[in-house]
Amino acid sequence: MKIGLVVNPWAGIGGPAGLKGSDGAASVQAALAACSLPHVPARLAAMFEACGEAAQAVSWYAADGAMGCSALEAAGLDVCAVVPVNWPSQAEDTRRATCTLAGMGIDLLLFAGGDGTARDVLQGLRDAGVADSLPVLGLPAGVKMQSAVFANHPTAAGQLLRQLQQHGLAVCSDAEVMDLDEDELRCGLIAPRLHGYLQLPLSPKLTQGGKARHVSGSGAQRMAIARSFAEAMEARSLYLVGPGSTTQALLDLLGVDGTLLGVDALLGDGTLLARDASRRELEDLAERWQVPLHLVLSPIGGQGLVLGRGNQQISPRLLRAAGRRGLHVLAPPDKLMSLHGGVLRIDSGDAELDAEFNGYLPVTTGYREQTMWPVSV
Amino acid sequence: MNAMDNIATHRKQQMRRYHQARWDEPVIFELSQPGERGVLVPEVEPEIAQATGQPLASLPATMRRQRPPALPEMSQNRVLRHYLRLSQENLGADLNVDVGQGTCTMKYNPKINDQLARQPGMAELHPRQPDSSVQGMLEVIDKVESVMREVSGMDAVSLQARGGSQAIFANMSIVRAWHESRGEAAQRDEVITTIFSHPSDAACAKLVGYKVITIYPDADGYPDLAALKAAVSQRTAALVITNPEDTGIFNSRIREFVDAVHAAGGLCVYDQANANGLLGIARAREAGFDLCHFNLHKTFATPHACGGPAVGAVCSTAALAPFLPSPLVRNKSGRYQLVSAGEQSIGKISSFTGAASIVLRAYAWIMNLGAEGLRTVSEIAVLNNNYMMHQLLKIDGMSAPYAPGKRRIEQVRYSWSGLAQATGVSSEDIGLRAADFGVHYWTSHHPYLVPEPATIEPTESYSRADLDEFIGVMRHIADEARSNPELVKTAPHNCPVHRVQGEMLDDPERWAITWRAYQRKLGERGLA
Amino acid sequence: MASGKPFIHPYIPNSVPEVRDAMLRTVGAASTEEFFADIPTALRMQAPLAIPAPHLSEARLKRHVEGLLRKNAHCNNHLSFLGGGCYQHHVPAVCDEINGRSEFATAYAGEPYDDHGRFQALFEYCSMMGALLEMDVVNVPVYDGMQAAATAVRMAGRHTGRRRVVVAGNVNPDKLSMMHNYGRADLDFASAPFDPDTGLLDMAAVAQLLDQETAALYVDIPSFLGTIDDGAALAAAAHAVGALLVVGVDPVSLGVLAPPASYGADIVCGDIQPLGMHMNYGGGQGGFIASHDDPAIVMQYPSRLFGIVPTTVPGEYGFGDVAYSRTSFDKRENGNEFVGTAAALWGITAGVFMALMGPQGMTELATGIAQRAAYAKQRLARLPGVRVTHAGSCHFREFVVNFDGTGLPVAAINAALQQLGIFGGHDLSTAFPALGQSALYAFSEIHMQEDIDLLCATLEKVLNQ
Repeated sequence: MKIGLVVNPWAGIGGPAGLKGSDGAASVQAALAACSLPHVPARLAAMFEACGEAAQAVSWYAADGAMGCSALEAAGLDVCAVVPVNWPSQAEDTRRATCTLAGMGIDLLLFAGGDGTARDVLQGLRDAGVADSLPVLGLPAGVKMQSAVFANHPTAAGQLLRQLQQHGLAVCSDAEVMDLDEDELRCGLIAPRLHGYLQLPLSPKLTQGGKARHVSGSGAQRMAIARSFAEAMEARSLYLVGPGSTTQALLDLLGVDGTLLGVDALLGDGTLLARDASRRELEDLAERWQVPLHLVLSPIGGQGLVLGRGNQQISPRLLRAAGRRGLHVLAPPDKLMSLHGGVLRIDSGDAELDAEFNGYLPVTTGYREQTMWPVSV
Repeated sequence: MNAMDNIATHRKQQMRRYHQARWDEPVIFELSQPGERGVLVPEVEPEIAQATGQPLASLPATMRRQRPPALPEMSQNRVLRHYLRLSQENLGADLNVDVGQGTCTMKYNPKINDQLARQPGMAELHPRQPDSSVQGMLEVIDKVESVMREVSGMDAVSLQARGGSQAIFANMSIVRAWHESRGEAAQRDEVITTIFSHPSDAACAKLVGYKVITIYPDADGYPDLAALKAAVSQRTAALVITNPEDTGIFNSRIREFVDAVHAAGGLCVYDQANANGLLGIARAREAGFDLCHFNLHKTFATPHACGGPAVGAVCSTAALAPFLPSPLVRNKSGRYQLVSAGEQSIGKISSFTGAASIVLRAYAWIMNLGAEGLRTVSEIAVLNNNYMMHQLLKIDGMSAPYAPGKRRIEQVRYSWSGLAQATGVSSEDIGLRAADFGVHYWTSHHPYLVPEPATIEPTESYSRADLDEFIGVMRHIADEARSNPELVKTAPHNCPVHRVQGEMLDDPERWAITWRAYQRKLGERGLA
Repeated sequence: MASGKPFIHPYIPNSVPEVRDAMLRTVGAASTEEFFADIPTALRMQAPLAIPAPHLSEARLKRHVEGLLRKNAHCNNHLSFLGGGCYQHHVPAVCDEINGRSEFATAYAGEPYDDHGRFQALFEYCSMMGALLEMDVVNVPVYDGMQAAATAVRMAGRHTGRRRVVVAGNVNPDKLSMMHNYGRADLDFASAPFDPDTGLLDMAAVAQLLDQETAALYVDIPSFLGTIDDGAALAAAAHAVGALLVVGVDPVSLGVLAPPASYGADIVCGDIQPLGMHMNYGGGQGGFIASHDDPAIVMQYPSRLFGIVPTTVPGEYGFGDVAYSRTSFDKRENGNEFVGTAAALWGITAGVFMALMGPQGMTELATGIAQRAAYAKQRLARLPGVRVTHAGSCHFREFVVNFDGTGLPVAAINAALQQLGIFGGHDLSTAFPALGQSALYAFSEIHMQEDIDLLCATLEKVLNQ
C-alpha cells in the first residue's frame, strides 16, 4: 500500500507570520519547538504508534522536511520518494506537494492540519484531477476543523491506517471540505462554507454477509432522496436549490446543469433560471415569477446548518416568502446522525424569522421516507 | 492427589473449554457417487403402465424434460450422515444459553409439543379436507384465537400470517382497506414508525404504498413525542410502534402517542414482537390500539426452525374485524367451520389457513401454562433481564444507554462503546469471540443508533446458573479485550469455520448463489 | 404471585421461590412488581387472563391434545385425492429425522461461522433446486408458493419499470388474491382467459392482452386445473413485448416436465411442500423464487440469497448473504418488500428429499405419478354421468372431473365418499362456476392401483344411489 504524506507544520499556530517577533529563536525549528500550542509532530507520533507494525509495511511518499519526511524519520519509517518544497512553506506548497504526490500512484493521501490545509489538499487534488477518486485521511491538528475529512483523534487515525493496510481499501464516502468564512469570523460570526468534497476511506470489516460493509450516504441513497423529492415537484413553481452533494443529486436527476457549491434557481419542470445565483438575482427572480417559492436545502457541515450566514444567497426575505411549507430539507440518515448536538440549525440573520422554524422539520431521507428532525435556532 | 480433585477443583475455576463441532464437510454435490440411491420410489403396477404408456408424449418436446436433474446421488445413510454433521455445526437455542438473540425471544420449545404435532392427526391433514373431518384442528385454531383475544384485549384474530413480518403486512393492508372504505385512502398516504422498530414495519408500509416517516428517540431513549406530534397530520394513515422497543424501556406515554394519531384520524398498530414481558401484565387494548400482532415463534414458544415455519397472530378491534383475511374459523354451537370473510376482507394473506402445525404447538404451550403460567413467564423473563443487566453493568466498558436508573422490561440494548474506545475492540469482535465459549449475541438492526450495540434478551427459559455463565463469558472477553485484544479481534477460534471474507458477496462477477454458479464462475480457479 | 403453593414450572427454572427471591435481592427489588413501575395503572391488567385452566403435567397435556387430534380424520386413515397446491407424498424417514433434530429446529439467527451448518444446508437446498430448475439463483425459502408468485411479479415490475401483469385465468384463485394484495400499490392485473374445453390458455387472447406496459406474463405450469400450457409459446409472446415470463411450477413435475428456464422463463417460482413435507393442514408450505444470474434481477430479490465464499483460512469456505443491502434488514424502507422468518426448515428438508431422490428418483417419481393420473383419467371417464372435463389435454398429477351428468352436486358426492372413508377431489363449483359441478382429483405415488380402483368402485356406488 502506498500512502502520500503532507503535513502543515503551521497548523495550530497560524502561519509563519505568527512567529514574527519571537525572540531568542535561532531557527524556525527552535521557534516551533518552543511553541506552547499542541503541535503537529506530537500528533503524528501518536498516530504512527497507534498504527504499529503496519506502518512498516506501507510505502511512504512524502513532502520534504517538516512537511512530511521528518515525521516519518522520527517514527523510524523509510521514505520511498520525497517531494521538494519551499521553506518556510506556504499554502501553495501544500497544494503543489499534494498534486505531485497524487501523480505518483499513491493509494491514499494522508495529511495533517486543519480546514485550511484540507482546502489546500482539495485544490491540489483537483489540480491533479483525482479529487473525486483518490481517498484522503486527515489527521486533526488545526484550530478550525469543520470538515468531515478528519479522524476523531490521532489514535483513531493510526488504527484506521492499520486496518487499511491489513485489509485493503474498500468503499469511500463523500466528506465535506468546509472552512469558516474569514470575514464573518472577524465579525464574530461562525459561518461555515462548503468548498467541495473529498473521498474518505472506510475500513472494510471482515464480518459475514457484508452487513457492516454497507455504506450509507452513498450515491444510491442520494439518488433515492432525489427521486422522492422530484416526484413531488410542481412544474410551474420556483425552486432554489442550495449547495451540497445531496441536492446535486436532484439537479443531476432533473438534467439541470447547476452548481455543487452555489444556489441554483429552477422551475419544477427542470428549466434552469439562474446558475450559482447571487442574493440579488434570486430575490429578483422570486419577485418576477409570482409563483410558489420552494427552498431545497441540505445541512452542511457538522453543525447541521440548513441555512447559515455562510449561505449568503438565501436571504431572510426569501426564507419568509417560502415559509415553513416551502422549506425542504434533504439529507441521508447518517448525515443527520453525525450532527453535533443532534439538531438542525437555521441562522438566516433575522432571529425573529428563524424562531418561527423552531420545533421539528421533516427531512427527506430516502425514497418516500422522511424523518422529523429537531431544529434549534 | 485425589483423582476427583482434578474435576471437582479445576472445573469451577475456568471458562467452558468449548469447541463447536467442525466436520469440514464438503458441499453435498462433492459426495455424489453415480448410481447410488437414497430411497426407492414405488413402481407403478404393470397394468397401469400398460394402459397409460407415456401419458405426456403428446406434449411438445420443449415441454418434456430432456435430461435428468443434476442432483447428487447418494445412498441413504450417507445422506443422513451428511446432514447430521451439518446439524452439529449450529448453535441453536437447545444447545446454548441463547440469551443473546435480543428481540428474537429464544426460549425453550417443549419437545412434547413437537411430538404432538408429528402425530398423523396433525401431520397428515390436507388443508382442503372438509370441515367436518378436521373438527379438532379447527377447535385448536379457534381456541388459540380466543387466547390471543384475551392476551391482547382485542376483539378478533387471524392466525393466517406465516410469520411476524407477514402479520405486519396484513395489518398494513387492513389499514389501507379501512381508509379506503371511508374514502380517505388517497388523502392518507403516510405511516409513522420509529427507528428502533423492526425493519419490516417500515418495509411493509412501503409495500402497501405508504410514505414512511421515521421518528428517532429523544435523549432518554423514548420515541420523541414532540416529533410524533409534528409528524401527525391529515395525511397520517397509521402509527406502527413497538412498546417496549428493543431498548427494553417501556414508553409510559404510549397513550399520548395513540391519542395524537387518533385525533388526526389515523390508526394505531402495535407490533408486539416484544410481548414476552407483558403477558397478563399489560395489553394493547387498554393503550387504545386498533391492531396488533404477536409472533408465535417468539413469545409462544414455537421453534425458530432456522427461520420458519412460523405464525404471526393478527388481532383487531371489532371495527376492523371485517377486514381480516379470509377464511375465518367460526364455532356454531360446537361445530367448527371455515367461513368466507365478508366483502371487506383483505382476502388471502397466505395459503390455506396458515401454518396450522405451528398453531397447534402454541396451543399446547398455552394449555400447559395457563393464566398463572403465562404471567409467571413474563415476571421471570423480566426478572432474568434485570438481573442480567445488573450484573453486566458491573463490567467496565459496558453501559445501557438511555433511561438511567430505570428498570427494563424483557431485553436491554447495551453499548460496548466504553470498551471499544479504550481497547479498539468492537461489539462485533466481542460477539465473534463469544462463540468460542458456546454463546452468541445480536448487535442491533441498522442503523446503529446506539454505538457498539449488543441486544440481550434472557427469556424465562434460563436458570440463574445459565445467566451467570453468559455473564461470565462477557466479563471474560472484556478482560481479554484489555489484556489480549488480538485474540478477540481474530476470533472465532472454536467454530466450524473462521471469519468469512465477504467482499465477493457484493461482486456480481464472483458471487455464487448455487453450486452450479460456483462451478461456472469459480470452479476452475477455486475460491481464490 | 398467587399466595399458597408456589408456582414452579419446568419451563421456568427461576420460578423456584428461593432462586427468584435471591435474584430479587441481588438487584435490590422487593418484588417483580417494581419492574413494571413504568407501566401506567390504566394500562395494567386488573384481573388474571381469562383463558382455559391448564394441564400442568405433561401426561395430562398429552391426553388433552391427543383427544383433540382424534377428532380429525386424516389422510393415513382415509383415502385422499385432494390436491390443489398441497399434496400427499411419502415423506422419507430421513427427512423427518433431519428436521426433527433440535440443532436445526431451534437454530435461528446465528452467524455464518457459528451456524455454519444451517447456512450450508440452505445453500445446498438452493443448489439442488438450481439443478432441478437449471437456474443459477434460488432464494432462501419464503412463506409459500403463493407469496413467491406475488413477489416474483413484483420483481418483474421493478425490473422492467412497468405496471401491468397478465395472469393466466387457470391459476389458483387464492394465488391471484395474494398477487392483488402484494401488488396493489405498484401493479395492475389483467386476466387471460382459458379455453373451457382444453383447460389451456387462449393464446390469441394472451397476445392481445400483452402490450408495451406489461411487466410480466404469469402462468402456472401445470395450471391449477392440472393442464400443461405451451411454455415456449408463452415465452415468445411475453418477450415480444419486452415483458418477463414468470412461471409457477410444481417441483415434483420437473422430473418429467421441462424446467421453465429451458423454454424461456425469466423468473420461476412455486411451493416446495411436495419435496418432503407432511401436509400439516397447510403448515408444510414453503415458497421459492429462481432466476438466471443476471445482477439486475438478483438485486430485485427481497429475500435472502446465500453465497459460498472463502474464509480467512486458505482452503476453507463459508457462506454469507449476497448483496445484503437489497434487503429490508439493511435498508429498512429502501429495501425490496420485507424479509422475515418464513420457511427455512422446509428448505433444508427439501434438500434432504432431493438428495435422497437423486436424478433417478425424481424421474421415477414424476413418471409414476403421471401414469397413475392418466390411469385414473381413463377409469373415471368410464363412470356413468362422469366426464373428464379436459380429457384431450395432458395432465401431470391432477385433473378436473365433471359430474353434471350425474345430477348430483359435488358437495353431496364428496359427503357420501367421506362416509365411506374417501376424500374426493376438491370442489371447484364455487371458484370456477363455468366448469359446472366439478372437482379437482389429484394422484401421487401414495396411490396403488387398488386405491384408484376403489375410488372408481365407490363413486359408482355413490352415483347409483
